[in-house]
Amino acid sequence: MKHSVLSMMLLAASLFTLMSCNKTDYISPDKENEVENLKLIKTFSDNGFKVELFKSSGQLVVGYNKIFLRLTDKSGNYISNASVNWLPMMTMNMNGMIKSHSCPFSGITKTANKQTLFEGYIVFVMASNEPGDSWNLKINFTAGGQTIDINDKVNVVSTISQFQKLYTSVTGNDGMTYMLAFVEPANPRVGINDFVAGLFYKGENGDFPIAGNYKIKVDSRMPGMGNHSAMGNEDMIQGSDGLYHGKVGFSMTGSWVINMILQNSSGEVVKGESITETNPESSLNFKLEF
Amino acid sequence: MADPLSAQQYKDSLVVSFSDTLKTKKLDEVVIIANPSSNYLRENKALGSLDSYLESSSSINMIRRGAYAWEPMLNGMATERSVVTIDGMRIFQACTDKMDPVTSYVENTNLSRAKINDGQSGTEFGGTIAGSIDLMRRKSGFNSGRKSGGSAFVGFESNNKQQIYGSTLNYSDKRFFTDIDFTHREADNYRAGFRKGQSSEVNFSQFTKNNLSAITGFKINENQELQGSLIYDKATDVGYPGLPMDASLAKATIASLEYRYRIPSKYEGLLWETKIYFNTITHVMDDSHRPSVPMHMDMPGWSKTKGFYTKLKGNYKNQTFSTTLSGYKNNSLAEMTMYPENPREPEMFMLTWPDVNTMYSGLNVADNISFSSSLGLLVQGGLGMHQNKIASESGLNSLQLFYPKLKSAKTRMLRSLYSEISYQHKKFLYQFGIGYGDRAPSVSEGYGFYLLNVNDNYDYVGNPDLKNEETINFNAAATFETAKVSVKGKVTCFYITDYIIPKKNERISPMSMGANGVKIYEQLNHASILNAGMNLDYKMFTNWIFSANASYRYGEGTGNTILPLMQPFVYKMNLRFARKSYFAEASVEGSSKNRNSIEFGETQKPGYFIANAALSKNFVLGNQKLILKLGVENLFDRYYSTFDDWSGIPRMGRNIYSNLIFKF
Repeated sequence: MKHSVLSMMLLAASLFTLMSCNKTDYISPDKENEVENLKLIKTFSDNGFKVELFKSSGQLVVGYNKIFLRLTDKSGNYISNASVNWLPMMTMNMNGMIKSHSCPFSGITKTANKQTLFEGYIVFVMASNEPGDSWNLKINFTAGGQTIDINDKVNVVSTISQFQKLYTSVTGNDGMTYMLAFVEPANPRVGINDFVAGLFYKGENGDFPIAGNYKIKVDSRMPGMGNHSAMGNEDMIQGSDGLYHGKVGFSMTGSWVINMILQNSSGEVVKGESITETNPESSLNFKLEF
Repeated sequence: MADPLSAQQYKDSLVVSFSDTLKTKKLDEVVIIANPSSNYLRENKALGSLDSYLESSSSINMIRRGAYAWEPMLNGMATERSVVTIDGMRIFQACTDKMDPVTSYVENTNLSRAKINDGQSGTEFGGTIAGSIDLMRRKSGFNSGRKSGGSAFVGFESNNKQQIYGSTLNYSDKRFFTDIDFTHREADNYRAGFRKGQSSEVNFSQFTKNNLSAITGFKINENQELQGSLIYDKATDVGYPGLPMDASLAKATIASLEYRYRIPSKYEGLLWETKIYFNTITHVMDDSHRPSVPMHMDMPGWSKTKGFYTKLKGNYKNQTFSTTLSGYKNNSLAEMTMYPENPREPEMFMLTWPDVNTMYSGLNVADNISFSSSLGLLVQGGLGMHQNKIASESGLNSLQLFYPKLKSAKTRMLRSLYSEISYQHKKFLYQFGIGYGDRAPSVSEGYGFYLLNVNDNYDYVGNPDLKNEETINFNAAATFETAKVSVKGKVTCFYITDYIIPKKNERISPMSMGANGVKIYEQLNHASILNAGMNLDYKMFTNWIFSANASYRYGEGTGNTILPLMQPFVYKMNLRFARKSYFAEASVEGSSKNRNSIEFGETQKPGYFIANAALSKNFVLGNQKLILKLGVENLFDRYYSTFDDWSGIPRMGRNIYSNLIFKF
C-alpha cells in the first residue's frame, strides 16, 4: 500500500486545524529558548509574521533534512499552536525552458515536549544552482484564525563526494523511480548503529509518496580494506513513521559503503545486487566516512 | 640437573633455617640464570639471552618470531595458559601479536633463577593451566661484613654482530644492600644456515635493548626489612621476520616495594612478606620499514598493572605452610590506525583490545608435610575472583557487532587444588602430583578484535562468553641419583575441558587485507596434552661430565584437532670438561619431525641436528677475576627451521661468540 504524503498531510492538517482553531497560545521570546542545539537556516517574514527554519547543521543538503520551524506573530511572540503546511518546489531553467518539480517531504507537526517548535522533513533531490535552478519553499500556517502565506528561496547544497553519498535516486527493475535518503545514524560510530532511511517514489501527479512494504537488505563494506564487511547489519523494514528501520555495523572508523538491495513485498529484487568477488558494490548504496 | 643452591648467593637473613627444614623435595624446577655477578659461571655464553636459559628446562620451549623476545611455552602451552611473574609480580604484555612476552622485559643481570611449577602447583599468584614461571630477582642480600664489588662485561656474536655491554655493582652490609646493573644489546639482522644459491640474511631481525635495574634492601631492625626494586627496560627498532610488522618501541617500568617481618613466635621462621607493585608497558608496532604492505598502520598497545601480595609462611613441627593473598588490576588497551594510500580517504581506527580492566584477587594456601625423611606430602588450594570489564564505550560497541547483548563486565570464580606426594627409597625419589583448576580467558581470547595470526593467516576475534577452561593434571617424576649418576624422568599430563581455541567462522569477513578469514575463540569439549622429559647427568671421570636431556609433547583435542605448536622429540647431549680454570663443552642437539596442525597453518618441519662447542678460561688477578668465554653455535652452519619458528622463519646459522667478564 502506498500512501501519498500530500493527502496524509492534508488530512492531518485539517484535523489539527479543527482541534486547535479556537485556541492559540503565545509565548514571549524572552521566556523560551528551545533552539539551543539548532542552527538557523533562514528566516522568512511577511507582514510582521516570521518563520524561522532551523536544522542541526544549519544547512540544507541534497537528501534528508530534518527541519524545525518557529513561528512569530506580529507582536513578536512565539506561536505554540498552529496548523502549518509547506511545499518545496524546484524551478529549473533548462536553456530557457522553465520546468519545476517538487520532492519528497513530510507534513509538519508540533515537536514533542517543545513549546515553540514544529518539525518536518524534506528530501531535496538536487542542489540549488543559482541563478538557473532554485529551490523555493512555500510555508502556510493558520494561527488564531489568521492564515499566513510565506514564500522564499532556500539554498540547498550537495554533500556528495567520493566518500559521501547520503541520497540516491534509482530506476527499479519495475520501471519506477525511487529516491532513497539516509536519515540515521546522523553521528555514525564504531559498533551497531540504528539505520533509518526514507524510501519514496515518483508518483504520477508530480508527487513523491513514501514507498511502503518494501524490504531493504544491508551490507556495510569498507572498500579501502579489501571490501571488508562488518557484522551487525539488519535488514530495514518500514516503521510506523513510514521510514525504513534496520541496523548497520561499522567495525572501525573510516570510509564505508552501505550496499543495499531493495525488495518489494513479494520478495522480488527491485534494485541492487549482492556483493561478490567480482561485484564489489551494489548499484543501490550509501557512502559515508567518519 | 643443576643444584639450585649453587647459584643462590642470597640467603634469607630473616629465616636462615627455612629451607633447611624442607626435608622432602618438591617437584618444581629451578633454572639457574647465569649472570656476570653470580659465582655460577659454569654455563657457557654467560651473556646469552634469558630466553636461552629458560629453554634449558625440559618443560619449556620457545616460540620465535625473530631473534628477540621469544615466547615461553610451558608444557606445550602458550602464555595465556601460564602465569609468568617477576618475584611474584603479575605483568601482562602490551602487544596484541605477542611480540613482547613478560620475559622480554628483563635481563639476565636482573635475575638469579627461574622457578618453574607445572600445572596446578603454580597457582600461588593466579589461575593457570600449564603452570607458572617465577623469575627471581638477583640481590646480594645483607652481609655480616661490608662487601662491595661488581663486574663489567662485553660480548660479541658474529652471526648478527650482536654487541653486549654492561656492568653490575653490588654493595652490602649488615643493614643495607644495593645491586645496580645495566645491560645494552644491539644486533643486526641474523643469518640463517647455508643454502646453496640463497641469501642467508634474515631481514627485519635486528634489535636494540637497554635494561637498567636496581634493587635495594634496608634492615629496619633484627626482624624487619624493606626492599625496593626497579627495572627499566627499553627495546627499540626490534625486527620480527616472523610477523608482518616490527616494533619501534617496547618499554617497561617495573617497580615494587616489599616489607618483610619475622614474627617472633614459637613457630620456627614465621615470616610475613608483603609487596606492592606497579608496572607499565608501552609497545608500538611499526611497519614503516616494510617494503610492501597493502597499507601502513600504527598499532600501539599499553598494559598497566598494579597489585600486591601478602604472604605468611612458617614451620610447625614437621610442616611448612604458606598462605598468600594476592590481587592485581590490569588495564590492557591496544589500537590500530590505518593510513590509506589515497590521502583524501579518511584514516581508519579501531580498538583491538578495547580498554579491558582485569581485576583479580585470590587466596592460596599450601602445606608441606614431612611424615618422615623419605615421605612428604604437599597440599595446596586456592580460590580467586576474576573480573573483566570493558572500560571503553567505543570498545564495547565494537564487540557488540559480534555479541549484541554483551555487557561490559564479567566476573568469574577461579579454583585450584593440588596435591603432591614424594617418596624417597634408597637412591630413588618418586614424586606424584595431581591437580584440578581453571583459568579465565586472556584479553585476546575474550576481547581481541580482528587480531591477525600470520601462521594461519586468519583474523582472530575474541569471545567474551567463553566459560572457564578447566584442567585435571597429573605430574609424575622418578629420579635416580648417586654420586656419579643422576637420571630423572618426568611426565606431565593435562586433561583440559572447555579448551579455548580459535575456530573458523565462515559467516564473518576478515578485516586484514589478504587474510583467509576469521576465527572466533571457541571451546573444545576437551583436549589432552602430554609432556615427557628426561635428564641424565653422568660424571664419567674426574673432570668429565656427560649430560643428556630429551623432551616430547603431544596434544590433541575433540574431533581429532591437532593442537598447534606441539614440540616433537627434542634432544640435547653435551660433554663437559672442567679442570682448574679451564672449562670446555661440546654439544649436539636435534629433533624429530613435528606432528603439524594443518588447521593452524603449520607445515611439517624435518628433523634437524646441530653441533656446538665452547671453551672458557678464568684468569685470577689478585682479588679480581677475568673470565673469557668463546664458543660456536651451529658449527656446521646448518639451515633449519622448527615447529616453533613463527611463519617458518629459519634459525640462526653458525654463530661465534665471545664473552669477556671482568669481576671486581
